[in-house]
Amino acid sequence: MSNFTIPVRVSEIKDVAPAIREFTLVADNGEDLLAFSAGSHVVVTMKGEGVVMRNAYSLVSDPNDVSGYKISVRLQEESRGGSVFMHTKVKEGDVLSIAPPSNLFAPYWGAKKHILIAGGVGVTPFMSYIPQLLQSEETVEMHYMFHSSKTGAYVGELAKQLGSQLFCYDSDKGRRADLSDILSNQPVGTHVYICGPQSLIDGVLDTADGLGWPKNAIHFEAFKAPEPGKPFDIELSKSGVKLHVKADSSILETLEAAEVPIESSCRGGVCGRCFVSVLDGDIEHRDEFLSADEKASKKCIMPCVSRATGPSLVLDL
Amino acid sequence: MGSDVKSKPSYQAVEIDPTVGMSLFVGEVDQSSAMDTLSESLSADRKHILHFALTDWAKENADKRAPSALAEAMAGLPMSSKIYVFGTEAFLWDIHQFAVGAGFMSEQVALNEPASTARRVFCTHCYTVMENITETPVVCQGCGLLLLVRDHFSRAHGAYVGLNINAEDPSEIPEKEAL
Amino acid sequence: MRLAPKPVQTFRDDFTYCNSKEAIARFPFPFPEDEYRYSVNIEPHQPKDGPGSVFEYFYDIDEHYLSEMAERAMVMEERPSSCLMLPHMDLACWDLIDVTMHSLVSDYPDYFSLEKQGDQWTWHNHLLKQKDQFTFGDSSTLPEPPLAYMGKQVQGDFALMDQRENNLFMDAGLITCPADWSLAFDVGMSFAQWHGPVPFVHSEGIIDRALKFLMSIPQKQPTRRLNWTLTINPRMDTSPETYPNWGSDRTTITPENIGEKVYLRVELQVFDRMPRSNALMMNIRTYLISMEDLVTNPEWAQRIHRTMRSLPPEIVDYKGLTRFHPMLVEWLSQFDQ
Repeated sequence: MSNFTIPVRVSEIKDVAPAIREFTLVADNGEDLLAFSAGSHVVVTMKGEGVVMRNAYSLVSDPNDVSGYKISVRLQEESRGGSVFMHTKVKEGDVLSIAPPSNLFAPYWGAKKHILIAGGVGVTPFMSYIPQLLQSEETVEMHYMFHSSKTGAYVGELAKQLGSQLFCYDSDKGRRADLSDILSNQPVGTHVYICGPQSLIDGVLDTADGLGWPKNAIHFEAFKAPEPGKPFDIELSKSGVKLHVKADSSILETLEAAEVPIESSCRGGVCGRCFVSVLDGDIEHRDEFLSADEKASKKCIMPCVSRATGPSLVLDL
Repeated sequence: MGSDVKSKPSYQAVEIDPTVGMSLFVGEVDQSSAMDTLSESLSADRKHILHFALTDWAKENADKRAPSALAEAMAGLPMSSKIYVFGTEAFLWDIHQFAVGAGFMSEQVALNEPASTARRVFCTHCYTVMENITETPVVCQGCGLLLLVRDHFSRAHGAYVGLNINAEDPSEIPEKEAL
Repeated sequence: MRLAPKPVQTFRDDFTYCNSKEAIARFPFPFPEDEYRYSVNIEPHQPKDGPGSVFEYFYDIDEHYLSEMAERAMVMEERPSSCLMLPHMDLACWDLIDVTMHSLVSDYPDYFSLEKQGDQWTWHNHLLKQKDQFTFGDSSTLPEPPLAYMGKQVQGDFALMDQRENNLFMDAGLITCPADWSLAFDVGMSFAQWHGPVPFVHSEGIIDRALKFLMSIPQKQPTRRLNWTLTINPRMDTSPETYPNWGSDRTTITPENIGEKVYLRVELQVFDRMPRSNALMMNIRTYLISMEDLVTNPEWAQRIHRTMRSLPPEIVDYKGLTRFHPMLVEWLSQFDQ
């Protein structure tokens, strides 16, 4: 079975920060899109020349608005090309294909207070959080770190929504956040959500741990784009097909390019949707989904991010 | 003996977590010395100890709201805190439930080994809740049916389920066993 | 051709429930192989087996619709705890209304229709001759709480599971025909907790894998599985609450009446991701067929004999079959010569 996709038209493009571009997507058939929950993302399929790229982007629009979705893409020159494609090739009126919204970063509705910590383009998932949290009359506080020369999207909009509960730290103006200050003396029932670079996530986790916070009160977007590695071969046991996984492609992308049917969702090693059994070969597990026992068993792999350590893998496909 | 039923909680003797800012000890009165021993190492400004009388716990809490002393103590705590609970199994889970309602995560509520093997039992036929049950089968105080006390446990009710043991053949009356 | 709903039959007292020839032919027979093996047997909930099959549409509305709706209304009246919702599940219940109404009007336009003007919705259920206007998302504009309202119009029970802390919690449900589990007791439990009493599945890691799989189900990619047990008489409400009323039925089985009184009870369980709440919805649709109707299909007759013969004693006990299982295997053996 292949993944369900929705054709969408790019109805508007605008720059929301020097390196961040916002795209409004509407259903190509003119109907409403699917409703979604705060913190959801969509996977966008981009058809470049001779290559198909798929990236996950958080929805930055109000979950109650199904007339269109908004996504914001930061230009990453060093990356695998998805953001460059979005910034340089996609024009208003173009048709793209997306998977329905999916959520791996939902608010914890039992919380008494929500602290949102965003770094740069990590502001994106919180753009859908804030309308839903405010509508539910939740207590919200946001700490937003950015470089105004590149990022810092939506500061005006956030200030309007959050007022004095928004705290901005523009590194280009020398303002830094003190995580210990932010996390100290918070009342019981506070939950923290982090979206940003790994260094920010690690910083918050370390600070919270040092202060004696419970681990489950800290939430972060764990998924990220697959990292390149050494090339290797894969063999599909059922069809006998052999494929070559290039250094900058994932197994999942290689299977998709060869039109092998496989389900997927987050493409970042978190959701578990693309689980595949492995019959032979050594695996470098890079996902957050499989348990330590499953990883040690060498019998399964998350092909969206994980790779072979040796020359080849045999997959049960 | 371990149970095959995975909803049945298992317990260990609790240990003090020195990293948290505030520690709240909650127990039934006969647990005072155990609480004192465990909390000894903490300075007075980092702990708070609450005792509740044994007898009327279930009656007082029929409305499922935390007693005001407990609610106040919990509300004043910072994120960096932990609750240690001592008492019967039903008491432990009542406190756990109140704490979660007040915003605590489960990992912040440490339940000591129950003070006895007595169980709270929820009759699945008439929903009567019976306290301090030590034997199975037991006659339901609500509907009079003979109930087998199973190992299936609800944290929300703090109770094990009781199911009519001889519905298929009322003449079958199994011998009582200690829980 | 689809089967039109028949006039109301009963699932209690005089038990007038019966399957037409067509309903027997489309029965979701759950045993894929001779040897009994516990399996999760999950597959995408996509159309299968052509027009008229129970897998043709998202919800299967069949000849028993009116009977099941009448039975459900009676159970909800007798046992209000058959419909429970923790306070944070209101949004999930509205998701259920959204998904269900759109699915029903698209699959059964002759039976159901929906008009929408912004958040003002008008719903027609032509089978139950019911018409309601309400404001989407505002529970005070419905004649009943949203879960009860929708559940009274669709065959199959509903569970709505909240997804949080890397787990699923049974935080809302409309459970009127459970195969022997109590929503009143289990409400609020985590996935592993409410499966606590099920044998085998914990030690073999089945529960952990099933949980991970269910949590990964995205919107628009529903999944289904079949589960089964045996019930005496076509009794829908085999809840533990009412067990004292039906437990003794199990002692009434004789070689003469076994074909008529023992029913194979199959649950078609459908899982779907709810859009706004991110809750996981489970529709538990129950099908009942008597052994004598079942054995009119020689392949099924042979297969069920072999499957029943190979049931592990733990499963026989867990499903409450102990009293009549040997007699059933013996009776079925005549169809497997």
